[in-house]
Amino acid sequence: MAAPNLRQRAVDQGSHTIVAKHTTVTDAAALREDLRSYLVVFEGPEPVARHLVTAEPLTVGRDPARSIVILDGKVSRLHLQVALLGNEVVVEDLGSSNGTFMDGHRLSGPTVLPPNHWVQLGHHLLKHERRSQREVERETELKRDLEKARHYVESLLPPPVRTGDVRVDWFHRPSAALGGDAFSYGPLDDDHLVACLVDVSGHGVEAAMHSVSVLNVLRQRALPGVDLREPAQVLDALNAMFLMEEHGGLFFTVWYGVYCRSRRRIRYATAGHHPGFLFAPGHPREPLRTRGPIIGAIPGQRYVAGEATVHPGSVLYLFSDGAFEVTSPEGRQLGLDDFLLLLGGPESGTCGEAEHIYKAVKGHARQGPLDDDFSVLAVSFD
Amino acid sequence: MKMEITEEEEGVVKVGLVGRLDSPGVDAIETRLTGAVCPRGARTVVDLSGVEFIGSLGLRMFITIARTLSRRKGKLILYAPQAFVAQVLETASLGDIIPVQPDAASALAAARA
Repeated sequence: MAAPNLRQRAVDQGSHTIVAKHTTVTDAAALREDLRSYLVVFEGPEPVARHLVTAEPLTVGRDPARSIVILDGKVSRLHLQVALLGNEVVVEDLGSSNGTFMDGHRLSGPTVLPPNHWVQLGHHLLKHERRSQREVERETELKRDLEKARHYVESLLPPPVRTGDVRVDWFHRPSAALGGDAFSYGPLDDDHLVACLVDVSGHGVEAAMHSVSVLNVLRQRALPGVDLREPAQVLDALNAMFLMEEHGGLFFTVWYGVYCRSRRRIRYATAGHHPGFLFAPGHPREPLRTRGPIIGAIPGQRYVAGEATVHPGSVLYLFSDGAFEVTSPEGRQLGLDDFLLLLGGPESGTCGEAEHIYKAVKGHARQGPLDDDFSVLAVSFD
Repeated sequence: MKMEITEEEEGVVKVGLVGRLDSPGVDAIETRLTGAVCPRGARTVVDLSGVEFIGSLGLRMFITIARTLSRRKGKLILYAPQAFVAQVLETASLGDIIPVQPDAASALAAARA
């Protein structure tokens, strides 16, 4: 917290006292005096690095010895240099193969890059930003805090299970630093295993905080009087616990299922969530979903459960809607049916590989991060 | 996101939406839509035929409006969703508080019922 920058001076003028207020150095003035030039590297829409520009030239290129290294096939080993001349940022292409462009024109000599302007080299953009050191430090600090929060959320996610009769692989990628997807799985007793996936409305910090509180309830089994082997009971209890109006208007969807080893049956219930899909060799793909509203929307809602047989060699896929609500490079809105084509059944040889699915989805989406948080769980059964 | 609000007969408010009900789309209309229908507990029908996407924030807006309206003897009825939006609404299973009708005529009839 900064000290008050207001100085008060009382001047006695006969019977009147005048209080003169002098603003000394305001924050705004301090910020203006402190402005520096930064070169921000963009990969798609995302800023990936920020470098202070000084009179000492920064070299840019693919070679690891450069001050700014850009791994891009269209960028030369030594491509460009940038330096401060007086108060101006000057860029100069150093004879690169594919050139450096400003406003669509190829640079042919030292050129001034005004604030908020860009140069393009290969698939990367370099932007000149004039900002105060304090502003940059605050942003860096915020980013660091978000990064710590992301680590915390990820530490709550269980590790993949690579051995045993039921194996789980997953891939999780929030669309912002923090996301609203969460999932949990593990044994309830010797005969029962649980898996659930939660998707909180929205994304970002607010959604992440809510998903963490839901996840901790499920992890700690903090639902008094509820038989966790009964999915409908679990959803009834979550709905009573997380009503929208008591949680800042946030709601979530959930897929919750319990596998019984001895019966080879899975019992499941869903709230506002699309189906999980069960693939089994020699059987048609089976959508696992019961009809029930999103959690938190309707007080007193009672949910219902369904059951399915788990044939030997089955794979169960659970995923958030961010996995399939994707925009194609042509701007077409993709949906669940498009996504299902990418899921490999047990015959495909790629089943159970969650990251493989993420890469396939990215391959069908427009450039840049996906619109929403992406989570896929692949549960493989002996 | 474009929005047009018109008064129909018998006090029904008709809302036409065009665009994407994603986070910026909802930001663009939520205050105006809520202000137009909630204070007076209007019977409201919303034409979704021009809406190509609805995300969770769009659902959240409709749930909040529907619940406020039902407390004030109003109602919210959506109609004519495109296939993608229809699937999102079906998955959310909110039919008990936000009915979805196939066209304007059935939505208006349900609003007046």
